[in-house]
Amino acid sequence: MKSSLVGFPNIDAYISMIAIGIKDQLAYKLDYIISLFFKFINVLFMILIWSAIYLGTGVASIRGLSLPDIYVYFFIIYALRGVANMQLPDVIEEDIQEGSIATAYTRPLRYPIQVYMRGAAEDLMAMLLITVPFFVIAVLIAHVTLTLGTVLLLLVEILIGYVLVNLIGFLVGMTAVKLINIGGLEAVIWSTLLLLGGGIVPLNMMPLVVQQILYLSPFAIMLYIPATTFLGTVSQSIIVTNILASLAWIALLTVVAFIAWDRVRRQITSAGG
Amino acid sequence: MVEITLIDSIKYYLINQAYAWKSFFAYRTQSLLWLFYSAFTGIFSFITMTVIYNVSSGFPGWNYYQMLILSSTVGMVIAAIVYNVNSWGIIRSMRRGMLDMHMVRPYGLVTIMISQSGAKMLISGFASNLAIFAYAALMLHLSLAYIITFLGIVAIGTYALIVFWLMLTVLSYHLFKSGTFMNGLINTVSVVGSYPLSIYGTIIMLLFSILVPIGIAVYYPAELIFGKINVVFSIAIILFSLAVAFVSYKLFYVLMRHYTSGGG
Repeated sequence: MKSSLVGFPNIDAYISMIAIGIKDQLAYKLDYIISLFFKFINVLFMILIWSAIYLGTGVASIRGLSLPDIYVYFFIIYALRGVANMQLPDVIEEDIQEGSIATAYTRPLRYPIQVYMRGAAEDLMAMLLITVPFFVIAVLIAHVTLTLGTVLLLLVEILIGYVLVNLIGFLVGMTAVKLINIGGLEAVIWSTLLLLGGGIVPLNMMPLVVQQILYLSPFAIMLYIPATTFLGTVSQSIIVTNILASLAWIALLTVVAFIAWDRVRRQITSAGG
Repeated sequence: MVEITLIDSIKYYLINQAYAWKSFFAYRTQSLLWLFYSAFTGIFSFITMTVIYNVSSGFPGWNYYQMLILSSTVGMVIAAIVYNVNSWGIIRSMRRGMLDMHMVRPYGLVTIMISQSGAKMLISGFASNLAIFAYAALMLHLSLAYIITFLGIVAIGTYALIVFWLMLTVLSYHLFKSGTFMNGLINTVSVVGSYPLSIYGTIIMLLFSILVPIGIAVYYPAELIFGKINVVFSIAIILFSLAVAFVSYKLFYVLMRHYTSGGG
């Protein structure tokens, strides 16, 4: 299948896709509110679980994280989960299964960018309704005054994490062309990302060898590194190592994505059309 | 009118299971990935618990292996529930009217709905959690009699939870017409139930013992085999489980009397 292309800056059309995506999201308001409710509830449970661990152990800090640090850590982690969303596989899978990829190809827009824009609508909603409130709560309970340098560093880390999660999502989404149904693969990747990114247990609580490997992986920058940067509990050398490793991952995954897409797009068939 | 026996209902359930398994393996690569993912949930919880006990003393009154018993049992119970009652799938079927043609069959509504839904990949989640359970039981030197007693009480609690979950799914259809609430709830119950309910404080403990009674299937049976509660209390738990099953069953039929198919 060959997509009709217009030069990249067809900005209005792409922005319209985001606007439509936001309207789609808000069409099921109650669903959205329910899912938000469970996200808030789950943070509270994580806090209660870790409070019991700290009180049971009777120590002020574990691996450099005090109990208040853990509270803030999990609020930041849940905030970042709004950014580290993996929408692209869902969008591509749906297009392949429902045959709407055929319609998408008739538009004078590049398909990968269309997919990203449709996913970006959900990303924007998640950032607005999950990331921002959780960050505000974290700032309030942490009593920290963030310096401009820390804020900029955080933004860079979050941006790198966002790019990485979308690159991985795009690569996973491409497998739908062959596999059609990729829900299982998505679930495996998302769970791996959560565990290896520090979403369940802070990475500094893992064995040292595992930590060193994870700091070189693309996962740490999605959750753990920004959370501990905010808390100020991670060393600068780890931050620098992880940022450099993540940039290398971005370069590698971008090349892989380009090559893979070039091959995969020739094999696309429309199931519904 | 055809007289339907329990054997007929079991046959109907099993035939549907065979069909569901064949459908599940229609996309072979995908089914294997789902099985891998489901197995991973047990390993996921094992890693989490191991890391927690590696850096701390863990939860007051619970050692590492006891916690593995607790979390793996929750994994098995959740797998058993979702294997039979896939709320997301049931609500979608109700919304699209896909359940209606099955409802004219001469079986009980509970049998029909349990036979028609269910997430098959959960079998590997059950297996991985069973393996962790066996490992922890071995390390704790639990006697066979203890294990059988424990699993017996867990089985009664799980049965109660399956009926309860089915009732809640229908209630969720009436209230929201969407499976999002049930998905969120099962994730929360899975997390909450993996740890001792006592750590959450009285209100949450009561909530997850009575209102969403995961405690009857996991926490209280575990407390019994670890000698934290007496036999009288455990008998009360069994009776409460049966009461939950009975009330849920009745409520399910009340809710189904007011069922309107979304498919017209």
